[in-house]
Amino acid sequence: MDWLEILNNIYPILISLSLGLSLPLIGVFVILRREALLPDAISHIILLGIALSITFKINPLVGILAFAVLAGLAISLLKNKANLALDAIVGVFFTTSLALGSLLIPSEELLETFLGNIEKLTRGDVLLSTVLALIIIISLLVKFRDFAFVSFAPDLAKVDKINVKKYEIFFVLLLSLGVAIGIKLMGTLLVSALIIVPAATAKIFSFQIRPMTGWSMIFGLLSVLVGLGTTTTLNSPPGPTIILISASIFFLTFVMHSIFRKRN
Amino acid sequence: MSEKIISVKNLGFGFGKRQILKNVTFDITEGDILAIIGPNGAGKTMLVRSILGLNDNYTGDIVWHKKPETGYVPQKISFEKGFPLTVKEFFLFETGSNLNFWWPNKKKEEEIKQRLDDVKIGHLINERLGDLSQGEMQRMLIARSLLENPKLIFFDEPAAGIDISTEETVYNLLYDLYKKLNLTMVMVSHELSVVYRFATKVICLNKDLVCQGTPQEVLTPEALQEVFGHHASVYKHAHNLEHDHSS
Repeated sequence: MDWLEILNNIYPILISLSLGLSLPLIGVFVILRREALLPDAISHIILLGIALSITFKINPLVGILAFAVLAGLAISLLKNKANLALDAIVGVFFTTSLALGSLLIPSEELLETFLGNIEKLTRGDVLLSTVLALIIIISLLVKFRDFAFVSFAPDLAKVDKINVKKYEIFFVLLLSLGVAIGIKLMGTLLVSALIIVPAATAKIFSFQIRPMTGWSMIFGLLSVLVGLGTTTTLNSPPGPTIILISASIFFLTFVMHSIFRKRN
Repeated sequence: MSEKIISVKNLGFGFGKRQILKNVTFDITEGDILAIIGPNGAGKTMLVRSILGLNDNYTGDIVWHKKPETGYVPQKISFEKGFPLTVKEFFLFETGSNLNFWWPNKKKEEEIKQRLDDVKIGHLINERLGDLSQGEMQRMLIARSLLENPKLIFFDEPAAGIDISTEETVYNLLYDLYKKLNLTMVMVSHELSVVYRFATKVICLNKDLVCQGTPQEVLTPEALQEVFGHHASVYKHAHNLEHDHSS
């Protein structure tokens, strides 16, 4: 086995680990904050970034990251301003970007932008995803308590002299980066599902937030690993495959939990 | 002579064009049990939130002369009932380090248990927040506010929505804690009987500061009428208690 082959084998594992663990971890907080629409909004703003990269012929990664940061900052700023409810902001951003993005992206590339394409992942993408995923995972796990407190009861956190605004902005940026690293593989329409579904699955049976976090990450990793395997075998688009597996775990868990609970 | 902790000067605020409160000036001094009373919508909660830095949208000044460890018991916290978070985890948000949250040590757990025992809900330590009753939730929030040994505590309607018998014990509990821990307390309340019994100082709000002083000085029929409008029963209620109080 030569080096190239080893590397080629490592990349899918790296991408599975980085996406499968970081996105579902973010999802625990997204659910805690009751902001399940937010990842979708960010992914659709990033779609506009992809569209502009294609139009101006620059590396899409630049457009993705630039628009992810932009989306994060814009949402954090607008959220605390004016009389705008988050869901209204999200609704406006979301649809405008989707409309513009779909007009600008050539139709032959539109489907893979929506549903993801594993072949478009370059080595640079994988390495950058791994680094960003590590940043997300380490930040959220090391400061888990503070992020959770700020998400759950911001007023009480503020009285305890925690800089709530700083954590809020930091979290939305981490969420945006998470969406950014997932978007090429999962596609703009489905990336948010990898954030939400594993966390929602873990929530079904968890009694405490700590095990919920662990299980969310396990379900996420499992979905991506099995999903990528299936994608390679069946030659199906990765986004829908991974999400279908993730959703199957959700329904299975739901049914098992209902049966188990009735027996007790 | 007790020292001033907070001075509020000419405070005012409103929502949009509607002025809620204006010209409110008072001090919070060490050892006070300051009761803030007034009708619904008088801005009592907003006043407390402004002092705590949770609302910046006001005119006038709020000066903290010192920064004692401060606890806050909000009226309620809003969250999704089904979210998996236990009382213990919620307390670990407040106390210990980030590392402690993943691996709480025995000492921290005992501290938490002790605080919960203080308000007689020690058995609920591993319950989910969403499974607590309203009264248990209130006690839990009180216990939580005491975790870091505060010297100053703000209670926003500590007994809102609790039935009368429980309410009595919530206030008795607060009073016991006040004496035991040398606290300074600020409480929003519309229970005049309670204010009469426990407060050392009262401020009454209705658009502006209507009255301030000790409950015995302040809660005159005239003042109450100005605060709450025509409300004979309130007056009678307070009057009866005054009787109880002096006897």
